[in-house]
This record gives sequence, structure tokens and C-alpha cells, in this order.
Amino acid sequence: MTPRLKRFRALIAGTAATAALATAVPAQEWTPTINMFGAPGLIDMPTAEGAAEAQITTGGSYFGNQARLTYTFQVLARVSGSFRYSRVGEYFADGDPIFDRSFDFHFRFLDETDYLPAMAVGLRDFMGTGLYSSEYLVASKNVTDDLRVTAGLGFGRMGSRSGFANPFGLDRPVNEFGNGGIPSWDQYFRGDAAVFGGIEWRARDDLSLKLEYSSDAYVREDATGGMEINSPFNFGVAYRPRENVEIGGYYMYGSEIGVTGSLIVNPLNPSLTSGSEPAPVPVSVRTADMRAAQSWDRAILSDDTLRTATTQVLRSEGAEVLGMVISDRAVRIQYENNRYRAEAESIGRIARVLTNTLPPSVELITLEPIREGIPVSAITLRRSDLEALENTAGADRAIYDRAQFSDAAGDSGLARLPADEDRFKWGISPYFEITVFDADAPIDPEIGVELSARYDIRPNLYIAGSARKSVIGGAGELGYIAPSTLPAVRRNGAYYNLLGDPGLDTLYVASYGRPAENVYSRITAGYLERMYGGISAEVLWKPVDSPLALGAEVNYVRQRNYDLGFGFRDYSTTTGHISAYYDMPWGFHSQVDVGRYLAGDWGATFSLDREFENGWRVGGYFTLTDVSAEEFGEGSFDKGIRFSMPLDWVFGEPTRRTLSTDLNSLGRDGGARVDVENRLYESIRDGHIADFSDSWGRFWR
Amino acid sequence: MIRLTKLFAFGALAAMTACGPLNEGGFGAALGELAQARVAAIRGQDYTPPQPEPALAVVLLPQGGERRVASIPSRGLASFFTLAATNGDRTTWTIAPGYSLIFKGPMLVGTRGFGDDLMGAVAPDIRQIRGQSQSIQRRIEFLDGNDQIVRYDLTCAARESGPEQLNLQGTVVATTAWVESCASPEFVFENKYWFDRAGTLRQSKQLISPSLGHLLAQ
Repeated sequence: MTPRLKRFRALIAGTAATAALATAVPAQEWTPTINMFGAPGLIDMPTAEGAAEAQITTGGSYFGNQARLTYTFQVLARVSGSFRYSRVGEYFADGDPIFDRSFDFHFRFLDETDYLPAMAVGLRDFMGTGLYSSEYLVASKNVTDDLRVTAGLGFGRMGSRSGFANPFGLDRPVNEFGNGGIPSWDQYFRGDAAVFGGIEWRARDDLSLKLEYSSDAYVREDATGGMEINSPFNFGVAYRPRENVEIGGYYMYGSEIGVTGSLIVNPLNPSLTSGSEPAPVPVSVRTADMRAAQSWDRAILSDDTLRTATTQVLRSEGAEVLGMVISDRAVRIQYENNRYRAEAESIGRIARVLTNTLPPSVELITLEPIREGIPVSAITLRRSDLEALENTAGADRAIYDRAQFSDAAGDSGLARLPADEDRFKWGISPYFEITVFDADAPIDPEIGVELSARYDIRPNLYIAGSARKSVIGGAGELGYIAPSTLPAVRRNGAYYNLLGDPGLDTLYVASYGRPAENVYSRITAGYLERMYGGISAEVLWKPVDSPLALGAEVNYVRQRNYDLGFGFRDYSTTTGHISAYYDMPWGFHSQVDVGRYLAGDWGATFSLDREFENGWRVGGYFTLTDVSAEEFGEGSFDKGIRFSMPLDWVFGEPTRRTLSTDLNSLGRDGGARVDVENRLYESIRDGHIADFSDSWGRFWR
Repeated sequence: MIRLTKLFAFGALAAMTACGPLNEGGFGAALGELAQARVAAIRGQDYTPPQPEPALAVVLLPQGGERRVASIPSRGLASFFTLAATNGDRTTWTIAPGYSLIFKGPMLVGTRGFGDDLMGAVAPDIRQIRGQSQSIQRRIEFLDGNDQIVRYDLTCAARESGPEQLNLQGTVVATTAWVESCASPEFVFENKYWFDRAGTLRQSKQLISPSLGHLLAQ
């Protein structure tokens, strides 16, 4: 007989003993410190180590005439990439500074063992103007638990101090970077080489002392007087007071004080590991007699009453029921999940609620999540499976194996339920945007107020709009607009900031549909974005269980007046793309768009993102069109990096909101696309299997 | 020229002052709750974030039903939980506004609503503890920060640790304590069980998760 619990009393117990007993045993790992280039390293030199997989390091550093802001992403355990924005003072002969963007790549091809060091190869500033252009091969090894030694061979700038002839016999040609932005293939590992190295001593877990010999002679800076280089040795201290903050102070090159500060975020390590949502409603288990029932007495519980009750009770889970059909043995519900980022969590919680509300005879539960008013998939669960698997180990995999996924079945027999909420929604929020990398004003912040509104004519047909008024900052003057032979499709964007305040950002009608199985459609018409109005039509083929989607979009657009009113300018064009989307293995997602861009140029955009199951995305893209590098101007072609962070990751509370941004060039005309809100693929993809399965662990949450 | 728009459009400033239906349930609401929690913490009060209406929980709670005392010291939580549902040999005990404990007999096999919950477990029969089995197989499951269920298989050994006096509701009860020691490459922990002379389990201390620590249940 199972022992019973008979006595009840509130207890307060000491925590120390209990906590100490549950001790995770971590592997002995060396957490690298951050260097002046915002990446794991010594002081100005790299090491062979990488950060923890997925870590994002945003690091600022300053010494001499060098200011650098670097964003480093550990794409894979062995591979990282960095993007940097630098200011080098007194760079030009007239004493003017230079502002420069650069990209780095680091690959650790050998992990450290008891006898062998970790080894890595890297490229610094490998495309474009090549201000920091250098390459290296580096090895690092712990000689004791607290002491790590690094030695490397550098090329380019890192071969500029006491360099010796290239070991491969290759000369380094002058860097003909043109308009920049193009990989400097002919430079890599060429020219003089030099040795660098250093040691790092971990005095405490949070404190490291570092000493290095730098092979970068800072030849130009020394010559222009921007820096005084007296010594190749740098030394100082790195301090990590918290897991996500590191600061450093160094004495560099015998003359300069250097400081660094880094913020560290790892998408795999949210502060609240798995969130803090309230417990779900437990499954209500039927008796054998109840399961055997083939119907229920509708005189006691009518279908209408059941629909109304279900609609009301599912609101407790943040789900708005839009349609429902119920029979003696099955129920089918179309709903909009407004609370949980992971659709699997929404499904799991809704299903458990339904076991409490549905008549016992109902065995099959089909849930169809709605996006933009259209159903995107159908997940069918057996109620008896929910009963059998709840609170068992391995229940996540078991219910996934037993669930059936299919395309949403259309509207046949579906009773449309009127949404209880007002069809008109509005919001007022402040906005804060920052314009960077403008030569005249490298950082130009703007604060203002944004009014947004939406009216649902039907769930899949709505009118939406937004307007803005700048309050502080913003474009007080036009700034520099580079000349171009291309139609001014984006480079005149500054006029909208200058003259369009206050302005109507968007005002459009959008309609979404399901013309056929696995096919989705969208038509959006009106003021689509700040610079363009017109009509945009899109169709997407995306089977619910396919990692591949194909889409096509055509837009006829006309450029809007600079005052952001209702008027238009003369320029109009037709653009369009054929798109392929592929949810790749190993956490990557790729997209290729081929077609005609705003300036009438033809080409393709290639995108690659590292996507985490918890909703984080970090990636980049580039666009190549028939616009030449000369016509395009600075940067040679359009490219950008972007990231997206789910807000439930930040706060733990369930929400579908994300924080995302693109870092790209707005001022160029080649490879530019219309910015239409709520395109199909991103609207529907998290209702499909690939995204379901990513976060299926939340089903029983 | 590059513009960082959306990052900041929904940034902290927006969060604190955004209003209207279109801004509900988003970043602003979350930040507002965080601020309230912080204020409450400063004042030394417990803060409970607003929860969705437990629409069905009221129906499920049996009037005058069994109650189980549970305390999670790491969360400063000590309270009565009420039997909310029974599913086979598993029972779910709840307390408003959204905490659940799931037991198989006296053995903890799940929690919900606490954050780093025990998502699932294969637990031994209590008779294996009293039988001082040296090869108890346990499995524990957690949800990691990347939405994945991670499973750990552990081998545990039980031993009698000797007599202990328990003060239960002001009554001193003579018990004998048994300790279950579990280990895997990732975890080392101990659970403890107190039985009275009649062989009835009077109290147990069982691991929820490394960050939450143990549950003390009577």
C-alpha cells in the first residue's frame, strides 16, 4: 500500500543544505576574455579559442586614436564572425578621422587536448577598404589550469612588426578595394609574416592578467602622429564582474591607455531558463464508461452553449477562437494564439483545457492555428493519448509521435464565431531609432511618437496604418547624398525624414487567403511603407510538413511624396521576386529571392540565418544585381546583418513579441526592395511542423 | 547611412509608455510587471505576476479534498497544495495562482509554474527506498533554455540514515530517515524520506531541479 500523507503543516526549511546537494558538475573549461577587437583574444591580438556556441559579444574599445565597436557572433562551436564599426582619428593627412566598417572570420580547426594546443585560422577585415586587413594562424594551450599561452603567425597588418619574408613565397599586392565591400581574395596570407604571442593568467575566476607581444606596428598611425608606438608589448587586466559583462584596462604600445567594455549574451542561456508561465490546467481523465459514450445529450448541453463556453475558456490561455465545428466524436477549432511564442505550448495548453470542457464522447481534437486570419495547419490529437501521456516521462516525444499534422481543411462546416473584442484596435507608443554610419553624423538618434491602428473587416481582411511625429532629434538637415546614375529609389530617403514629420508611415488594406491546399495568398494595397505606395500581391506554396517553401511576389509601386502625405512622385516601377525558403538542418535557414528590384535592376538576394529553437535568429544577407559596383557606390553591393530576439526569452513571461533589427545600408539604390508588412512566409511558418518540432518540448509546459 | 529602426521602436522607452490594445501583452506589459516585481522586492513583499483567470481550476478543486503541505525553500514558498486532478497513479496538486506539483504515490514526478520545472520523471517505488536498493534507476527531464527537453538517467542507492525526531504540527514524531543518493555524469543529489514506526511516510525531500532545489513535502 502506498504510504499516505496525513499531516499538514507549513514548513520553512533552510536552503543551504538542499541547494548544495543538487550540484551540477561542470566540465573544466577556460572562458576566454575579450580583446580590443571585440572577440576572444589577448589584448590587440587573437587567440585560438572561441566563445561559447551562440554567444553574442558586443564590445567597445578605445586606445590612442582607435575607437571600435564590434559585434561578434559565435555561429557554431568552431566558427565565429565579427562586424565592426571603427573610428580612426587623424587618419587622413588633413587630420580628419576615418569611419570604417569591417568583418572578421575565425575558425578553430583543432580543439585543445592534453598534449596539443587549440589551433585556429582567422581573417580580420577581410573585405572592403582593409583598414585592419590581416590574417593569422594561432595556437593556444593551457600550461596550467590558470595559465594559458598563445603564439601565432600574422600576415598583413599583423605581419608589420619585425616581419619576415612570406613563408609561402607570396607577395601581397596593393589592396584595390574600389568601392569596398568585396572580399580581398588576392590579399589573404600574402606578404610579410610576423610572430605574435602572449600569456593570460587567470588570477581569479573573474580576473585575468594579460601580457602580449603585438605584431601590428601601427605603421600609418605612427607616421601620421595619431599614435605613438614605443613598444610591441601590451599588458593589463580583464575583469568580469558578472557573467555577461567584461571590462578591461591595458597599457599599450608603450604610450597608450586602452579600455574595453563588453556585453555578452548567449541565446542558449536565458536568465529564466525555461520561462515562468503559470501551471497549465491538468488533463481531466474520463472513466471507461465516459470514453465509451458515442454522443451526448444536446438538450442539456447544446452546440451553441459549448461553442460559447469554449471560446470564453480558451481566452484564459490567450487563444481567440475564430471557428469551431463539433460532432459527437470530434471537434475542430480554429484559433489565434496571442500569448505563446511556441505554437506547441499553445496547442498543449488548449488541448488540456478542452479535456475539461468537451463532452466525454469527443475523442479527436483538431486544432488549427490562424495567422493573418487564415488557418495554417491542422494538428489532431487523441484525447485518450492526452489522458495516457500526461505526467509521464518522455511524454513530449510520445505525444509528438501520436499527433497528426496536416494542412488546414478549409471552411467546410465551420461555424464562424464573432470575435468578442472590438474590431478596431489602436496603440500609441514612443519610438527610438538611431541612424549610424552617416559620415556627417555617425550616430544620430531620434525619439518620437507613433500612432498605429487596425480595423478588421474580416479576420483575413483588414485595414492598418501608422503615423509618426518626431519629438527629439531626427534629420534637422539633409546630410550628404551620394550621386548615382541609378533612379533615386532609396538614396533620397533622407528627404522623407526631413520633410515627412509628422508623416503617415503606412495605410493599407491587406487580404489573406487559402486558394488551394498548401497554398497561401496575400494582396496588400495602399501606402505600403514610408517611401512607396501601390499594390503588392504574393502567393506561397508551403506544405505543412515540408522544410521547403516557394513563393512569388509582384508589386506595382509609386514613390511617395517627401511630406509623407497622400501624394505621389513621378517614379513608379514594377518589381517582383520568385523566392525559395529552406529550413536547413543544424539550425540554419536559407532564403533566395530572384527578381527585379526597385531601380529596375535584376538579380538575387541570398540570406542565411542561424535560428535557435527558442526563437532567436542571427543572420545576414547580400544582394547581387546587374548594377555594377561603380553604379552602386560605397559598399559595391547591398548587404546586411540582422538579429531577432524573442521577448519571452528576456522576461520569461509568455509573449509572441520579438525585438528585431536589420543593420543594412538604406542609402543605396541597387538591390533595393519594397518593404511590405506581414509577408506570407514569416506570417505562417511558425504554424508548420518545422517550427513546431523545434519547440515541441514546450507542449506539456 | 544605416538605420536601426525596429530594435528601438519597441525598445525600453516604448515599453514603459506604450498604450492601447495593439500594445497589450507585449514588451511594455512585461517590463511593467518586472518593475512592479522589483518595487515589491524592495519593499520586502512577495510579488505575484497577474495570471490568466484559472477558468477551470475552480471546478477541479475538490471541496474539502485532500491537501498536501509543500515547501520549496529556494523560492521561499511554503504552503498547502490541494488535490486538483488524478490521472491513474499520478496526482496533481495545485495552489493559486498557477503552481502545480505532480506525484506518483509519494514520489515527485513533475512540477509546473515554478520556472525551471521538473518536466517529467521516472521515479522509484517507495518500497525500493526502504528496501535499501543499491540500483535504483531514475530519469529526470527538464526544459532547457532552447525549448528542448533534456533527460538525465541516474543510478541511485538508498540507505537508512538513522532515527530522527520530526516536529509535525507541534507533535513530535519519531521517525527513521532514509537517504537516496543519486549520481550521473551531470548531477549529484540526495533525496530524503522520513518514515514513522508504522512505516508511514511522514515527510520527504525530493529534488525538483538544480536551480529550484528540493521540495519538502508532508
